[in-house]
Amino acid sequence: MDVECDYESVRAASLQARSFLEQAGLGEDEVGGWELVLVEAANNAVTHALPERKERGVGLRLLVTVELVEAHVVDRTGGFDFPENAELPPDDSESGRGLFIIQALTDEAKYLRGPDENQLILRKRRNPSSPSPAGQTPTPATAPAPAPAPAPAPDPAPTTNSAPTPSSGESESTESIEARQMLEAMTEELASAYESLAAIFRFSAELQGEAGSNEFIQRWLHQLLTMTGADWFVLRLVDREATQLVLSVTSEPDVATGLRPSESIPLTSSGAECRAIVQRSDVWFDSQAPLASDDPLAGFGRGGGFSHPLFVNDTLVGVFTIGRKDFTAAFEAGQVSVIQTIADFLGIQILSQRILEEQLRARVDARDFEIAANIQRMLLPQKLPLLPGASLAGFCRSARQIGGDYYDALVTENGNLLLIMSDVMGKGLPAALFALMFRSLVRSRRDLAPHPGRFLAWLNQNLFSELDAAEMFITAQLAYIDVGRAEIRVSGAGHPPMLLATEQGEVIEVRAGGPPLGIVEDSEPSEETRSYRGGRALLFTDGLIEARNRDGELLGLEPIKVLLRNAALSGEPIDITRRKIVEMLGEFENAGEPADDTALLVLAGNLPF
Amino acid sequence: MKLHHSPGVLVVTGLQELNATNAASVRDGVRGAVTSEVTGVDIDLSKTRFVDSSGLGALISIHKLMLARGGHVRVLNPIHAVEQVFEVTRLNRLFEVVKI
Repeated sequence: MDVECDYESVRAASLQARSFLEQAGLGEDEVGGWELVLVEAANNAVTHALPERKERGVGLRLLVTVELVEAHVVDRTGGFDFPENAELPPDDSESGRGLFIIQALTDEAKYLRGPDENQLILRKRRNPSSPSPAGQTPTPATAPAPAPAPAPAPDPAPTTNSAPTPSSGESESTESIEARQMLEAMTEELASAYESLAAIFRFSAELQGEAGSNEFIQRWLHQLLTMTGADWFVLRLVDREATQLVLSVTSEPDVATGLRPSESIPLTSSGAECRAIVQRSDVWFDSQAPLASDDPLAGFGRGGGFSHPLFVNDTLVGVFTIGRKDFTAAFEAGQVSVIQTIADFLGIQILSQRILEEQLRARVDARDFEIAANIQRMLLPQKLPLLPGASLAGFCRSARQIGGDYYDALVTENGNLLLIMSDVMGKGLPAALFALMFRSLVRSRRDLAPHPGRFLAWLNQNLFSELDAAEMFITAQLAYIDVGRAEIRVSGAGHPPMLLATEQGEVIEVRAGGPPLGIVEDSEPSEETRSYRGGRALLFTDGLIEARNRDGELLGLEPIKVLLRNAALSGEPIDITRRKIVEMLGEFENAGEPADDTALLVLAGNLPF
Repeated sequence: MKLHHSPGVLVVTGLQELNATNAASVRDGVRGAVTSEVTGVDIDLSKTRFVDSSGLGALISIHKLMLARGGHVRVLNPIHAVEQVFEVTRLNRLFEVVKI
């Protein structure tokens, strides 16, 4: 029934609805609840009715089945942003409880906005204990409360569960005409809904196939334009950092203006799209409520339409905006439902697609990790060379991610020894690959070993362009032990110093060298030569001295120098020295997670060999 | 609606309904009758069969006036359906609901 646009008429209509519901067999609490809900909803419609549409009143419809009661309240307001979960205002607020009451007393409240009128659909399951009058049909009943069954219907079985037929005369009563008109209207509504439903079913069927692909989304959104008589749409998806809305698909650029919506907009924008996301409800615009001049859609979205946020549970997927250039013929409630439904479905598909992609990426990452770990195992020497009068011990530990630490010891053609320590800055597969390249290059030119500085310069020349392109670099140290001369010649590339502990108890930091490999194209690292007959030499990567304890303090060089001096003085076996360093590292970190890769190589000698 | 004063208390009775159609007049009527001697307002809802959110707004307005004056508002004997409206909106915590 249509109710005049004032509070008295609303109250009178709610009393009519009340008696209709009582006759339909609802219990006192249910009837009272609906009476209040209808008053709240219809009063809202009265309070906010647009002056020019006031005379069309407020529409009220009630539908009762054995299972539920459904009410439709049609308002002629500018439309509300109906919250999903209305909240109570502060206790001292004198208004603002209506929507909360409506939601608290119903199971479902859905608000459909249309160009001329909007519809609030409310549903609540019937209380199973409420009495059911004898003879009640299970078919839906609709009531312009109270309304009689349509007398002239050929089928005598009444389809309405309304108040008893009043004393009907020969001709159809006014109430029965009204009831029949309502039935006809419902049939019409069902017919138009059928088309929408068919589209949704077709869409669901296709979802089984190539769903989620860009072509799929594009095709369906274009179909949506045809189905709903819209002219344009813009679909934006939130980026992975959740800071931007990025243009995903849009209808063809506007032929008249050639405009395309901007590629991406920050989530903090004040435009209709972002407002829809913040409010979690549709934001409508038309000539009466136009887009602001700085709205990202301002040039594109002429006419009118609405932005519909795409959420899957609490995950924001994006926002879909659709519109017509001529909004005097605006969307019907059924079309709005189809748009919302298909957009929501697409949102789910896009999210599933993203999750799939992430899983795939995780699998690729795991495979990368495996390859990198294999490479690193391959890099390290199976066993270190054994030389008379000198011994070597190495150690390498990987942190959580595989890095590019590498050490080696090569015997040169003239029977001397080259020690190599290097660290590729970076993690994962790229770091492991550079370590592998570095190793191959070093091994290919043992002849350069006597001059570690020149050797590093050559390595830099050969690796520079690749390292530079990958924005990576390598620190390295080469130590050449010249047995005949009883000398050790050292050069580094951005690497920590080599420690040299003599048998006299002196510990020297040998720092000669230049910048890391891959930083300067023509580097000429310096060399430092020391006489070396015995004691200990230690080459290491920065993971050793940059180890941190639980208080965040660095291990530093000093404790290692002390340890090394004692080792040189005592002449303990090389394995003991290595074990002591490793234990010191472990104790310092106190079983915490190793922060960085660590490699070390200890030389104990008594030259000449 | 009937208003009468018993010592220090303004008693409101005879409200059939308290809804959007009469909320403003009830609110203004009661507020106007709160003289300086009035420290409490008793609103008898025993005959009131329907209260909506506008009606609640009127009661809150009266409550705010009394609170500012250091007084209080009691709601007397609401019927079950009306009491439920207070409960749903949690205003049973704000008003003293008395059943005599």
